[in-house]
Amino acid sequence: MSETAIVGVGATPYYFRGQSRPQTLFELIGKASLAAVADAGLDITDIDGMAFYATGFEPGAIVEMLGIPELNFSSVVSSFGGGSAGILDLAAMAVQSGRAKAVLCIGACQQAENRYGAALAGMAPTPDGEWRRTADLRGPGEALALLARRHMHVYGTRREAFGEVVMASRAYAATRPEALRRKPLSLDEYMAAPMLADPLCRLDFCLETDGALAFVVTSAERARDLPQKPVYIAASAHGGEREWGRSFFWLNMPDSHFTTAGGEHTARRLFAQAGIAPADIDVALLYDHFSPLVVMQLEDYGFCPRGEGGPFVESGAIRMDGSLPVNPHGGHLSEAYVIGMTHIREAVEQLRGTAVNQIPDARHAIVSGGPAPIPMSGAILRS
Amino acid sequence: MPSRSTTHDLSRIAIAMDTWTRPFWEAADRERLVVPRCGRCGHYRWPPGPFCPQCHSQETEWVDPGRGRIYSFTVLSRPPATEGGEPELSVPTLVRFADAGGTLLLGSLADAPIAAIAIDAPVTIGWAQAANTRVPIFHLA
Repeated sequence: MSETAIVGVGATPYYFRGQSRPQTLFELIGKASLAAVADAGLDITDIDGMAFYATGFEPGAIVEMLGIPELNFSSVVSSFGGGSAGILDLAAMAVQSGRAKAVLCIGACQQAENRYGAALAGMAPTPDGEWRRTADLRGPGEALALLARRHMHVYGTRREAFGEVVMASRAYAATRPEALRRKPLSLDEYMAAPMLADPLCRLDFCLETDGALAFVVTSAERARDLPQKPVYIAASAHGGEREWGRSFFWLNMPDSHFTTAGGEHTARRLFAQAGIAPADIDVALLYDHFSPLVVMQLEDYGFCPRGEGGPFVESGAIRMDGSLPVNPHGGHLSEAYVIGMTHIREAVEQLRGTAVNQIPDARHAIVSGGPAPIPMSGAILRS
Repeated sequence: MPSRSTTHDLSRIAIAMDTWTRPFWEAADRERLVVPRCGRCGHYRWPPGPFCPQCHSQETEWVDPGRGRIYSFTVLSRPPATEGGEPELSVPTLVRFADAGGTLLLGSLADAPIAAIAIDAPVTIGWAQAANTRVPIFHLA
């Protein structure tokens, strides 16, 4: 198949929840989109395709708002965080199939009224979800706490491991101007934080923020004539397997999947497509809505054996000088939460060689969508 | 912090039901716990739905799942029910029924000493009143 590349990135500033007002969500989307197109050295009228993550971004409104003459491709990845990296899969498909020449990928959130942290409580009751309500599970972090506890029980994973994920993200964020939580964190401070959903304390939950990001994807051939160093999409996937299914909406995964982050299927597809192994990855951008899920994703993606994610992170492996730096932008835990989009941006900056916390000679980056109901998603990018 | 778990107020929750989940709640309203098993191949499925995912039969038997044990749980700090009171600890719990194909049922673990809650602990079933039906809750056995 012909290759595709990310040639432009645009982002609004990141804001604590509600502080992006009085800008509207579409205004944020418009600013990120125009910035991405400018970064790509293109004009907005060159855009002829759109790929979205999650619902609510009506393409009709965006083409009108920005004066895009026509769309030849428009699609959305569904789900609740799991599909975020899947926008790159849609964009690659559109370009490879010849449907569109330049696809704008958009992800954004504005949580003034709609808090993702209480997303389960905010949904209209459905017959298959009523056991969540009788159990008092109101948010994704509360439900995923059951996976974290089981992981601790089965593998002996310690809270120190979850704390290390958070502390590492803070250490990275300290030098990242965009990051909203930049104060270094000690293990004592972590352990003293109030428990919200035992074994998850407040610091294991990601930030609640507003922002918009956009990316331009085109063919590798065209990318070589554009101003930025191309970042090639070496592999992209969205989907998932039955055993993961509705995951934390359903909590009926078999033993083989309950203590995972549901990413093994995506991992297998990505590494096969890219023709590389986990050891070839220089930097990992793992969706960190909740710190224990980073530990589990490290296992899912084969960076350490199953059950050894705790000792792996506690060894310092995910730090700047470790064997696999994870989320050098500070991630959703310390930089900002824009449903996985900030991870794609960081992958691009690492592979362009322009990242704030640059991994020397980074050539391959992996980006994951959030552990959430199917579709799960991910991508391997290369310079 | 309180030493025991508290079940949240279920009395205002009106359980949404459909064709395939209604038998669960109708049995619950009579204080009987039942789970769906395929009438053709015997596969347990959860949550209740229109097809057996193994053989696609729509025949469903509702059976007693037997004894359950805690598979996992979390302890949530909820604001005090009354102003100036202590926060309450709510314990969403997954109970695994080994004799029912490992079906995992989610519910509230009621009035349990927090220090005694553990994975693999056996539970018994109790009942609480929601707006339109009784619903199962768990107690440490």
